[in-house]
Amino acid sequence: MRHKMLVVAAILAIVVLGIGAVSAQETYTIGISNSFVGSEWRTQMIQNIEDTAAELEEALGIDIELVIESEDTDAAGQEQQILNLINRGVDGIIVNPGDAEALRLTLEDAVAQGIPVISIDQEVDGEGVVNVVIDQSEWARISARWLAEQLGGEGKIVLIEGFVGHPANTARMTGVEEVLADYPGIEVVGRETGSWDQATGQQVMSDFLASLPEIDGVWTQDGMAFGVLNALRTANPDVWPIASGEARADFIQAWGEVVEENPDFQTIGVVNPPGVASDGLRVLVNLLQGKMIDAEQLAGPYGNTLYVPLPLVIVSEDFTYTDMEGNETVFEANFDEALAEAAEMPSAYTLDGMLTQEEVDAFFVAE
Amino acid sequence: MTTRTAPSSTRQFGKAFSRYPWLYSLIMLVVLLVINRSLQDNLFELFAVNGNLRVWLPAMLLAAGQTMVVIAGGIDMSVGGILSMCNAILATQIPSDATAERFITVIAISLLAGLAAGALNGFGVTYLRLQPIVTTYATSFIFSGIALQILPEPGGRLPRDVTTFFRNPIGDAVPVPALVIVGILIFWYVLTRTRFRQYLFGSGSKAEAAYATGVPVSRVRFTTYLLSGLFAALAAVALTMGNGTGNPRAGDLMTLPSVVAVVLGGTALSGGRGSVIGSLIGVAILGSISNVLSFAQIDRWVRPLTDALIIVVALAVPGVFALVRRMRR
Amino acid sequence: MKIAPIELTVQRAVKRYGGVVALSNGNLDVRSGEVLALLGANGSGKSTLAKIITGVVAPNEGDLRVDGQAVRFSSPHAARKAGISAVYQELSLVPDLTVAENIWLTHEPLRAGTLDRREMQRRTADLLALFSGAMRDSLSPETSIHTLPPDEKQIVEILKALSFGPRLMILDEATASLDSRQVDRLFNLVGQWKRDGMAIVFVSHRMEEIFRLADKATVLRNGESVGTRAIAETTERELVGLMIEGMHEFERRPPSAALASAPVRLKVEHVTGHGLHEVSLELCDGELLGIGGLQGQGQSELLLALFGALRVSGHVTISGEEARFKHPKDAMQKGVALVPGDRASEGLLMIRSILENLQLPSWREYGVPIRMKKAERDGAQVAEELRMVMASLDAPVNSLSGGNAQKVVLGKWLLRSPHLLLLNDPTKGVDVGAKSEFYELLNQLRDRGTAILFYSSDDDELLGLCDRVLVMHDGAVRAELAGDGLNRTALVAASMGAAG
Repeated sequence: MRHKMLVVAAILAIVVLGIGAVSAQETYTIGISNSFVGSEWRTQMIQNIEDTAAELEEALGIDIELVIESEDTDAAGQEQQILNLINRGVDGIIVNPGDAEALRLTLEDAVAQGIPVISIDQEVDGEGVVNVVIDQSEWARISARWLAEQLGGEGKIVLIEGFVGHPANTARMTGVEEVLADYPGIEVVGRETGSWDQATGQQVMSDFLASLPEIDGVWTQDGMAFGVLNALRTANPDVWPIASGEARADFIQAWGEVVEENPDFQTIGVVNPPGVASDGLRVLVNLLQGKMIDAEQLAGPYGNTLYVPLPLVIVSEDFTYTDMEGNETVFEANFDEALAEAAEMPSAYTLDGMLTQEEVDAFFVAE
Repeated sequence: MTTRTAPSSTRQFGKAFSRYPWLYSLIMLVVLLVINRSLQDNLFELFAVNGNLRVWLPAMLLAAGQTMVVIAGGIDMSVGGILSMCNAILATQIPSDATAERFITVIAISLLAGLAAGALNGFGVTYLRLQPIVTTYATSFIFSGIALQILPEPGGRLPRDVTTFFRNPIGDAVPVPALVIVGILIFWYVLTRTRFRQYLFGSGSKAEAAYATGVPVSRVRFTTYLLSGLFAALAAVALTMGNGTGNPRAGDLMTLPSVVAVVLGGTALSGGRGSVIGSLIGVAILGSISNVLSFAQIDRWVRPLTDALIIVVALAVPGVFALVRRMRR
Repeated sequence: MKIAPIELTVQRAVKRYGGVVALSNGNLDVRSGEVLALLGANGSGKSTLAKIITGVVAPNEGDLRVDGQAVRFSSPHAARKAGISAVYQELSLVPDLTVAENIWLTHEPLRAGTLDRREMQRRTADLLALFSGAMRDSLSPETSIHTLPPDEKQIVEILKALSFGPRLMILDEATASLDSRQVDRLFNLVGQWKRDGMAIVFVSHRMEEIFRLADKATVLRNGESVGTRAIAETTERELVGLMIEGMHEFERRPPSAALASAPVRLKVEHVTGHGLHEVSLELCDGELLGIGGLQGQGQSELLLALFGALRVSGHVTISGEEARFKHPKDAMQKGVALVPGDRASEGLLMIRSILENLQLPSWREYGVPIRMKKAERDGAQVAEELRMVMASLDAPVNSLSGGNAQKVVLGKWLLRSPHLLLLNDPTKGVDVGAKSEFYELLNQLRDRGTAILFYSSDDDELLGLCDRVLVMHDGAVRAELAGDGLNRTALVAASMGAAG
């Protein structure tokens, strides 16, 4: 009997202490708004937020409650998501906007109510909104520069782009055009949209192969690159054009297979990291903890963007990249490691990278 | 006439329901709002009311126009396309430094564009005698094609004054969308007190009989498509003034919900019965379902399924009531 | 109430539908204070003539005059403007509107451009008062039309025609769904209107009503006005004589001797419901029993009830066994087949192949998976038997002529070898050649011992083929004609409900 009483008392003590401990902790309720669920990239994006939230809870001794609004919807539907997050009284919002301009005013409303808003993947021209994105133009310039160098600045190339009119595609194609301007010997003989779709990309490439007598190079992006590779493997021309690639697991695996048959084959995969979501969460938590963003770090067309450096470029031979300012970066051959990683991942998985807390803190005013 | 026996209360209810088919929908909406309120304390506070009404308003305008087409025995699958087209016109033609005169002119132009689109639909359906669902589905591609032509990528920005006026309650008390909704109700009230109301319901209920009585059935149906085009243009105005920008695909996902809202509001797809009031309630039901699921934090993978199940149940309720009544007999 | 005078004349009106002449020489003459009856047998053209007056049908030729002025009505609306309104047989009421809304549709009382509902209610109540006591008290101006029984719909239809304040009213079979109390009330009203100076054209099947109400009668036969008689100076016999004059009698094949000893296949006692009143009949194996009468007197309902498609009270036995069919499939299992009259809507899948149509009720016999070869063989055999003219069994049914399409309907039931065949006006719209083949087939089936119940709207068929004919009127069997009693005069007289 006495023994049991002791046990009960012990449990009570633990519970009371536990409650005390919990109540002492800071709790952040963070809303996530996502308007498209049909891609592995978005799934990884949300997974990254969940993982990093757990990590931050541990590291900072805080509680993070995530409220995830994620469904296929239009601008009106996403506006409703944001309104519901505001009405729920969240402490901060991370949004991947389907239509950045249409959400602008509603996101400004959130900011006006004292809710910090981080937009990832797309830049929003909203007062007080902080964008955490990669530089899409720079992302495209790396593979475009690589392609031009591989061709020795000479030859005929085709461009297969994403949705015409989508802001990300516009930024990327601008980057490609900037690079090509440095190589007067390269002639663009075809430009077509592959709608960011693997099958469409394959179809467009097959049509190019059938209709153009000479193609020395192909520049494309995202899932369409796998379509282009498939078109090349099917047609198997005598001399393969040099093609840019991507960083999805299935592409890396196919790359490995092609190399086995044809050791000279080369391509490049520049990672567009779903990890920006993790970076965005770290920025948001810093803001919630009262840290100030270093105004020097803000850039972009609206002056409210933190550009996340590109984490990873996959190449099978060392590549020295020169950016528009003339700075050189050496990307070391890392294809074998990438292949090993890709082998364990689901086929639509994107090789990823994210900032550490120290790297994120560098965006902020030192305390 | 005076010696009629006092009708029982259940019969009284039955009569009210058959007279106002949207009473079911109203009950459904009240239930949803009660649930929503239990999950969201500030549901009836100004910011939440204003936000919800602003998001629902374009859908309500689409559904109002759709209702009149459906009552007259047709259907308009192009309302989303018309909305996209007018949204594109408004966003490209009203620059952020537009004068009031320019603003009003462009709104008038987009309303005319909506009417022209409706006239095209009406011509195909009533004079070429094409199937309404096929005709309007086909024309919807014309309208969204024009939208893409005018505005290839999302963009445009209205004057800040316009969006600020539209998004903020007047005198910190009255949401602008609420005024528009009152306007729709007044429109419907007046319409149902004119001869056109009899023609509208007559044409949808039994066109041959109405025709034999001298109702200009074709003209009535043509008019409903005109009205539907006009309301789609008004929806575009509401959308554009709300978010201040344009998207050539703004209406892509809005056509089917407008039909669902009409049906949820008690309007018969076979024509001859229904009310714009019900369709407004129908839009509010759809919005509330989504809000309830959001506040209940239903797992995001299960949400589309739950959403669909609730809508199916909501659609089935009047049918179930009718079945019970038949079985009792 | 005084009504402005009117005089309407129609002379030499002609109406053709494609190659078919519905009316070859229509004449009538009616004026204020007069009730004119239009009568004629099925297909005599009386409905077409009535529709010409009301603007529903535009004549190809002829002279239509109101008050001596030649007129041409492009629509019912135009006729109404001239003071002519009609009570239609096919109701012109809109089901989802109320009684008041229907009556005042297109001429609603307005106040400041909006509906004056109170005035509309008041005027409607006044109109309804004309029939008070002859219908439910609960019928109010606010009642929805779709909740009304047929008789009250008919009354609303009459009041609607009246609401236009016509100088001439056409009552086309307006009494068909009214009970005797309501008919009495209507006739009183017609008398009143007549005294007020209205002209009335009364189209009816019922000889008794014509003699009660009309001042004169115009008789049509084969699309032609063959005579007008003052009612006071004529007899039922004379009118019936006018209706059938010059039409030849048919040679009927004698009933087979075996018939007398044949077993009774079908026995119907006191079947009531769906407009049928106490219908009783007996049918033996190998007998061809006709059902006649004017159209819409319950003939189709009787056949559908026997086939299990309509629920009725009463007692039906087949081969002495009680037959209570809840569904046509029960009837089919007992060897009953129904050949419907409206091929497109009831009998055939028009875009599917002939074979599919033939085998539609019989696929069950061919197992799983279907023994296609056998199905094709059986189908080909029936097509051969019926002498079907077709490209192949795989051709769609809509590639066939009307007669051959009707053979498919018949063939699909013959494949099931029925003991009792119900025919619902099967030769409607079938050309003459196909008809005679069809008659031959009926005779063959009869010789094989099939019991056949044969409803036809064509009096010649009944007279020429049947062993006996039951004449239906108002859902009841009015007369049984057999032997010498089976002749045209008796058939038409019984159809019109005339005495003797």
